[in-house]
Amino acid sequence: MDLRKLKTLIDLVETSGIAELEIQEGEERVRITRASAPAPAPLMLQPAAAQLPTPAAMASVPVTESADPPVDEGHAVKSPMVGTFYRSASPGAAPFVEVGDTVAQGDTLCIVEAMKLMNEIEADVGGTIKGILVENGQPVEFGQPLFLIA
Amino acid sequence: MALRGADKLFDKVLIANRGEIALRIQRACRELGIKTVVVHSEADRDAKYVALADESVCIGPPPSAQSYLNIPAIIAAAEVTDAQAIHPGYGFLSENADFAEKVERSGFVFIGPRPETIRLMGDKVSAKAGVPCVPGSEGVLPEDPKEVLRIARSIGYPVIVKAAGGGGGRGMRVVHTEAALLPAVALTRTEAQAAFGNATLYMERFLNNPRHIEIQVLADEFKNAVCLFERDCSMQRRHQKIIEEAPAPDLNLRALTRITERVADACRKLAYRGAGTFEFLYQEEEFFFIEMNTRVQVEHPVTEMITGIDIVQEQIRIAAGQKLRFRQRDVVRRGHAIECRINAEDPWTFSCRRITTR
Repeated sequence: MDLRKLKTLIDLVETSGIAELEIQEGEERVRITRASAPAPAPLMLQPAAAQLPTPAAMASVPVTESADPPVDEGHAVKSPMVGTFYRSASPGAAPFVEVGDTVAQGDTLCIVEAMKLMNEIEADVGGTIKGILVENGQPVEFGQPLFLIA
Repeated sequence: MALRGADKLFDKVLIANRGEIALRIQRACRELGIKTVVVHSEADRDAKYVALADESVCIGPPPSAQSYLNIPAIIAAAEVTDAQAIHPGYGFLSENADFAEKVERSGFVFIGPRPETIRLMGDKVSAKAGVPCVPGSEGVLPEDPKEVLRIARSIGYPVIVKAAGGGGGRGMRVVHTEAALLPAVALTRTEAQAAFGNATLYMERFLNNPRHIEIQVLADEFKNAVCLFERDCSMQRRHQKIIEEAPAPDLNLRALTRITERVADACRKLAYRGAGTFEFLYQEEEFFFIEMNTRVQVEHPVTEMITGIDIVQEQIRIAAGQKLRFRQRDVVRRGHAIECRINAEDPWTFSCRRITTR
């Protein structure tokens, strides 16, 4: 964030009635606190000075899947639980399914592991695997689409 | 204020709650430089507070039982996001000792008291805490009339005789004088047997016009306990608090000082950890302990406003093993704060309804 932008923000805080302003732009974050904000009580444990924390790497790793699979590509098999997605029963073993495989309703597609328990996730419909939407070892949330079957 | 290095409390906290308190906890975390993960049901996926968190995890469908009360899902969410600590907020699992235990056994810090403490204070029978309670028969009222008279005398008139199988105002009778006691007990027993099939009675001092006064506490893992004054939550509707204020107007200050000391003592004896509230009935300048809430409460902001202490931040610090940075004498109050809970209610059916017009 360049100094001129910063100065504009500082001026904004000073001239307006704002006590605290926090702005996040991409990976950069700035927080400006008014130095003369009336303390609510004599107990002052934090210095109320204008601060410029080093632009912390806002490593946001959202677990949510960002894009929904296109509806016309088939039925999405969704995760019934929170956990870690594994394509095979154990490391090094062959994946349960690959794209193009034909599966029947009830076939095991993957494992979702939570609290040290391996849960087999079954296909709720039969058909062909059109897409595998999660990478091996990735965390998944409830309702997250895992496979596309058509 | 972002903390670095040795000062860092936690890297990441998972917030196992929703709505206003989830947002409140996020604010405290953000001010402490802690990353936040918010778990949510499908119904809250698009809520603004979810978008404000650093990360979010959908843990279940809309029903609470399958989402916000779903212990395995919440712990799994903490695992996959590498959170260090879980803040339960209020309601939901915040006073569920099993949840606290599972959280700790899974390797996370539970931001609240120890599971044993939650269990102890959650049981209305065991939770006396060495603080004066509403005088009562301490159990079932015996059949022997001499005993009944003796118990009533030690409780002090007026007394209320209650059917153990009753509730909600049914199966109760107030007795003002000793002369009226035995006939009243006999009548209540007969009524109870007829109405509930259970003639068991117990007796308590009757408070006809009590105020609800509660005391906020903070205690660390080093047996330091501090009271953050009181709140008056007497304005209630159908047993739900509507207005809370701090401090409480017109209390007998000597009684308040005495009860505050007892509360601090109780915290130390219990080895209480975190934020908590001792709830009392107050009448004729006397305090009677009713129960303890082992969580942060909805009305905590009025206490924050008069003391300048951020209760949620302190919860997080205590959970991270920090000592309280202030002593009782450092806690000073200034001003007066009032919270009003605004509810949507149908005036005819008293039920919650959907808001249809603005």
